[in-house]
Amino acid sequence: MREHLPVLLLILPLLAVPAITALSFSSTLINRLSVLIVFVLGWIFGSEALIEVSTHDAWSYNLGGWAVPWGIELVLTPFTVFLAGVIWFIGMATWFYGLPYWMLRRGEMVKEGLFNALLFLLMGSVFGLLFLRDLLNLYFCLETGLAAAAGLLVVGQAKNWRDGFYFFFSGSAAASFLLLAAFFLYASTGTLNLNDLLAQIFISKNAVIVLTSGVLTALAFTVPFSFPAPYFFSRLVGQTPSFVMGLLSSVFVRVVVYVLFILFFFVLNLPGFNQPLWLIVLEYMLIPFFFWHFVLAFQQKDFQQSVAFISVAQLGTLLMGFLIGSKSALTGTLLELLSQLLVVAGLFFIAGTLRTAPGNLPIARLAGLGRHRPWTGLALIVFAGSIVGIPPTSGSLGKWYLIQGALERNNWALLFFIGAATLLNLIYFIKLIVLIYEHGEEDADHPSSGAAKVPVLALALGILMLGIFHQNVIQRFIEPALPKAFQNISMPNVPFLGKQVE
Amino acid sequence: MAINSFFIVRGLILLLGLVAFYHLWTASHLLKKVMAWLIFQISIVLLWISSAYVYHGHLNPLPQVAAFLILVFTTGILGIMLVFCLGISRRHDTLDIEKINHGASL
Repeated sequence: MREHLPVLLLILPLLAVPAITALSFSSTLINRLSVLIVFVLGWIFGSEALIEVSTHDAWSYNLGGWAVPWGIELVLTPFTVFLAGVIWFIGMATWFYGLPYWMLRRGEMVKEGLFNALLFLLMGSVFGLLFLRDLLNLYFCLETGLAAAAGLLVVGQAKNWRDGFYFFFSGSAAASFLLLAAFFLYASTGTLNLNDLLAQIFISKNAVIVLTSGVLTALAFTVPFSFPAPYFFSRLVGQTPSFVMGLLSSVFVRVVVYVLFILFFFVLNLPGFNQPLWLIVLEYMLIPFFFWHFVLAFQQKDFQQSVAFISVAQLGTLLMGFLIGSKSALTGTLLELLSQLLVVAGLFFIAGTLRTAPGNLPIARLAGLGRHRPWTGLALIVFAGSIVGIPPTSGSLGKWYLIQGALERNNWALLFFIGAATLLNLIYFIKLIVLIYEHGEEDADHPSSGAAKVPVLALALGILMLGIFHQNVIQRFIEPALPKAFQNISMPNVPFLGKQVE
Repeated sequence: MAINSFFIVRGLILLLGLVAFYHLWTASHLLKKVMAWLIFQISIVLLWISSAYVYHGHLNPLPQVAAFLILVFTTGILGIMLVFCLGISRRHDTLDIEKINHGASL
């Protein structure tokens, strides 16, 4: 049983989908109990897998015993298992946070069951994106994730059919570019396994195929990257329950960023490959484009719209690490990725606790929040502090490593961008603190639910823990996830290959 | 470079994909959009199938398996898209984008 843990981790949420859908017709209690059991089982499998990969490094598992490159390979690394744990935690927090929402809708038992099933479908597809080392299967997982996300949007709010369709349709159309990238790579190398692809690309030294498939891969993820930008998904942000928005914006979007990291740094990382000037210019233009979303966020009068813009803006920080590409920068990116997962979910959850009905949530409603609901106010400060980069939040350490990476490479342009974004965030952070502790109207109503408070506080605590124990996280999980050139390993070291080529 | 049948076949497939991709964005009816996406996917499947014959007429099974899997998955996605279309048409009584947007803005 133990030797099959990698596949168990992957199929547990997927097996839960039909089971929970079927149980949703029986009773609400049984359904909720079964969800809890799946979560507990996931923790048991996950902790076993984490112990295993922590002691023996990466764990390769061939599905059905078929060896690569013909078979499908699952690879569990310390970082992917840890990341999966954070995602599982956010999934559980989302489910727990959503319980009061469903309790108010007693007649919608089947809908609740369907929501839980889609939650697990999303978890399963996200785990697939993390563990599977096959390009074609990455496409299948991406599509499944898009379908689950679109389903969650519709189940959460019936008015979302149109926007859910656009999300799914444009996401699927863009994802087709991953199929094209896979095709070109296969035509050039004769393999689809990610490790094997790296070796074959190195042997063939086909820079054109690297460039083409790199651009196509980036295009394939454009829709998740733009989610939940209000200029595309304005109605979704206002109508969808906050826990659904929080889950999708944090988990789905950030995992896609991690997949891009794997593809760019472990598959298409051809030594000596120089990017053309137009691509470098385009990449550098993307940083201010993403950071511009901070400005847009601060111009909003609606808190939830503001959070949606912040979610997109933070992707600029992750992209920055990719552009610098040094050890410090990639360490910062992965730490920031973990931090953003918790921050984005937490901010949406807070928005949900303040919103009484679908629609607008004026920022003015935050006035006096820190005095009426001190714990929620404190959690909001932790989330905002992590975005700004105030110690000891995990966001501060991520940005610290990113700045260090930019300094090492003398990249003044990126230093300027991150400096400007941090300054802007700091001003907004001070304004936010003044707002939530000001003596506003005494009748400021802050409806609260105990069940909703727990996940918010747990996420805030997670950010602090990640910040305080960042050295452990970096040494145990992040460093082994970096390209081999950046790892402190003894010789022989083949920096540009995921696996040594015989 | 000699122009052989492979170039012509792949050129036609790419042309089909490009036309479908153009309609995918410009079509003003949701069903037409979905059909354009389907043709785009089929063009990718055809590309995969075409690569099975690359090695001097010898059949390579992997691209065929990949093409088959993509086709199965495409059918599933198509089903989900049609379910969404059904949901939209029930809500808005139309699948015409302009009419839907007009109705939503009212």
